[in-house]
Amino acid sequence: MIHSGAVVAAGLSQGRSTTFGFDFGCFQMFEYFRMDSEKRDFVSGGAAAGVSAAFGAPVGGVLFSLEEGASFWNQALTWRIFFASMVTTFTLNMMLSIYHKKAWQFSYPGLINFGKFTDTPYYGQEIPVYILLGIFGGLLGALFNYINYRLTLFRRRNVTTRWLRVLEAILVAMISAVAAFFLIYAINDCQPFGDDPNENPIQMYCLDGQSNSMATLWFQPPEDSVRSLFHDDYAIYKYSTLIAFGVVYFFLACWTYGISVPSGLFIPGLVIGAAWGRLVALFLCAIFPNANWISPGKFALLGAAAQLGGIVRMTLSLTVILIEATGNITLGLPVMIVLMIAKWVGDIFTEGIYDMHIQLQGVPVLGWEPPEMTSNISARKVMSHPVVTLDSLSHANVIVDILKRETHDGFPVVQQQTESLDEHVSIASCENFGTLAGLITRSQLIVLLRQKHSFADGSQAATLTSRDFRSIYPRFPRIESLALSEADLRCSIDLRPFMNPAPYVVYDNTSLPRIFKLFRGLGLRHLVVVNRRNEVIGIVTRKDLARYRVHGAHLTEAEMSA
Amino acid sequence: MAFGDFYNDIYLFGMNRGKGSSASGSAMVSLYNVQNLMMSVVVVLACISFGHSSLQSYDFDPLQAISLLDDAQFEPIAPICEKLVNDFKDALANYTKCVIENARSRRRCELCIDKVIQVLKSFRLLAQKQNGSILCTESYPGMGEVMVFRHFHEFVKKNWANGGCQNCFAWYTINSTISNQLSNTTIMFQQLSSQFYKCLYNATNADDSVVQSRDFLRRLREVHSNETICKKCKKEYDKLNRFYVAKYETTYDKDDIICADIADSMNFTRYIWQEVYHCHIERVSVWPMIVTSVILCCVPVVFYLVSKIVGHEVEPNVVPSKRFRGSLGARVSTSSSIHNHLLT
Repeated sequence: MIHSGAVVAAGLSQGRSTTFGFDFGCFQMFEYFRMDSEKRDFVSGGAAAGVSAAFGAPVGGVLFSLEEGASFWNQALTWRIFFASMVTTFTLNMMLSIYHKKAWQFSYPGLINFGKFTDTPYYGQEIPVYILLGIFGGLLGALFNYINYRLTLFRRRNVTTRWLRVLEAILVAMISAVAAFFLIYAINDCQPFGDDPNENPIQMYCLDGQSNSMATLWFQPPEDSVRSLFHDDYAIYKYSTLIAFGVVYFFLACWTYGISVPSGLFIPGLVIGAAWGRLVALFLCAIFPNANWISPGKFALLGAAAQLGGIVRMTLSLTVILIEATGNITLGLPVMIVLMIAKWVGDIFTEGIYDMHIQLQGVPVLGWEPPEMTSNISARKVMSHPVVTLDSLSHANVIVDILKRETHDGFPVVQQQTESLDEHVSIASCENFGTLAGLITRSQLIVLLRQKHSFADGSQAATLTSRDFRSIYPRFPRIESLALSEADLRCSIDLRPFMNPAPYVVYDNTSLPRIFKLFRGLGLRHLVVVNRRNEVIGIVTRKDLARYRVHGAHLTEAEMSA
Repeated sequence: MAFGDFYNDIYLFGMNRGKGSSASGSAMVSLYNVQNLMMSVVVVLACISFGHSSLQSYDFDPLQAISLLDDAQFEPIAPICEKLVNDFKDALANYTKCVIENARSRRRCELCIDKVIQVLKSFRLLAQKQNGSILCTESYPGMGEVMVFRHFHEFVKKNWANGGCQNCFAWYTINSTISNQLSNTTIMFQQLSSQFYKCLYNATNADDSVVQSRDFLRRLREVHSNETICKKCKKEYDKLNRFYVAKYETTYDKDDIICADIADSMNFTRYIWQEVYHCHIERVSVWPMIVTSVILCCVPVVFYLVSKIVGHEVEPNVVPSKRFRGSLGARVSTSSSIHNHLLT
């Protein structure tokens, strides 16, 4: 849901489709949105809308975006995302109420309904139990993440062709069905029919008038299983049912996440946690026979929160999502305690599962803070050197050659090399590439080449407007698709009217944390490193910064993939 | 007399009685009601015999009832009011007697429907103006919070509805009189049930007296061996069971209560069939199941081994990092094991 929301928002906001060939750019509005910063905001808003639609939790969606989805946050964005989430909830409510034939009776705020916990207080003596739940959730979550990590590594190395992946998905489905059937067959947990609000109860080998409660857990959509575990009566599930279900579901969920189907993690995490949370409640009932403060649904909720928190390590947004989904703010504090402890315990062992997968895929995402132990690293160690630069008056064939050979996206523009090279050698101990004049990006160069403007002088510069540069956003053509004649290639292009004449720079002895903060805070893509004479000696990109990671007590550098 | 209102009374109250009770366990509900009834019977008889009762009618203002300056309560009661009150008292006693006596008969609703109608009718009469001017309620002002007549009227209605008798009947009007009759599903169920019992009696050479006797379990068990009964009456039992499941256990609206007669009867039948004669579904032999499961669980293992052999490791497209091989001392180490893990 989150993914769908973000993708739809990103695409819809641009108002064009290259695949289908239409363009609503005639409306002023869409042109305004064709910028990276606007698109980012839309993606954040879309993710929040996805959460809001899934769980009926608009505020949870906003906080999810704040915590996980957005790197650059401002107050206007808060209001916009909140508005989007509320409208999403309203629209979904309206559609679902029409679908359920109760039009205009708004009682379906979210797709997933966990049932409301009304009148469920908690007592002070339960807080140590909650802490234990959190610890257990963190441990199980770390185990889940570790197993999934090894499995993902194996898959990336070995399950590589398409038919292997399809076969793997088929096998996972098959084994899930086998496991479900075998458990229902083996564990004969019969409950009187009617105590169990399942729409399709299965009798299996129970007597007439009874239904098998293991089947209740397997033969419903998982979100209904969660609701059953939250709200069913104390005696509905036996110990054996919950243990067998929890263990098998844990390993199945771990195995399923990462195969080539769009599978989620929220609901399976909640299901596993609800099962063992309920088990804890049963144990407590056995230890304290006459206690009326033990409510299996409440412990199921907290177990579910602990397990999910242990897997994904989200605290703030998950608390609010669960509060809104269950409609009970009293249980907000226990949920928060459980999530915090699960996160702390889990972080001792592994990372959260999403961070782990991001790292495995090599996406250069920068954290919020610079890595520790890096304050003695200067820009010289971080930067890329040598740099591919362009002269301010370049020949077209040089530009084409560079664009075809390199994969870089930004090129510093330098003034023509002046004399006195030996002077340079004595000052800096590394080669420099000329005095910095500006920075130009690949997309701008391609637009220039495509317009086939040849500028021996600057007189034709006025015929290109910013609209020409904006119109190819977001997907600009590749250099191979440009057709340039020999005559075009011999021309020279003056880059000065089109480059960024004042790019951000750092000196060569700037420390890594400072570079990181600048990069992250301004949302840069390239940062030019200059020496004291304003001569380009290197360039810092996101991948250069992202390769520094702290593992345990060691700082390591990793290789980055393209 | 507005029979329309009366119909609404008993019908709607049964529909809206709230969702407190569960649909199953009507036997439990019956027993619970019996306890309630016995307590209430004592109170009713005590109150009525002492004559301290206060009447609530539909035009009654509670504030007026408390006034002790109302002299109607000290005047002699009009004869018609006395008759109406006695009628109400008798109807109530009859209802209570009927419900308790038939609590285990599995025909409680069918046998007591007339008594309930009588209670409601007599209360309705009691609460209305007689001859245009006399209102019987004024003779029985409220003493504190006790408003006995209304209380017991509500009790009877609630007991009837919660006891699950509402859905045994179908109501219809003929010539502006309300009649009630057993509903079609109730009649159908009774037919199927009697067919089953006929078969059972044939097979066991027993009869109704055995089933109704106090040690029927022992007598049923000793009459015949289990296997033949299970075979002989399986068809009738299946028909009955399927009908019950289809009508009451699958498509049933979970907010309604099953007719108590039918539920009790079905519970009893199932008890005889399953607990006395142990006619269960035979469990399929477990070995094919285990063997199949083991074979199927080995398939993914084989798959992963095959993929390890067949799948070629994709060479990670590592960007050669261009670094200044300068002199600044490096406290950065490239750990090769982390390398391998993070190579994509």
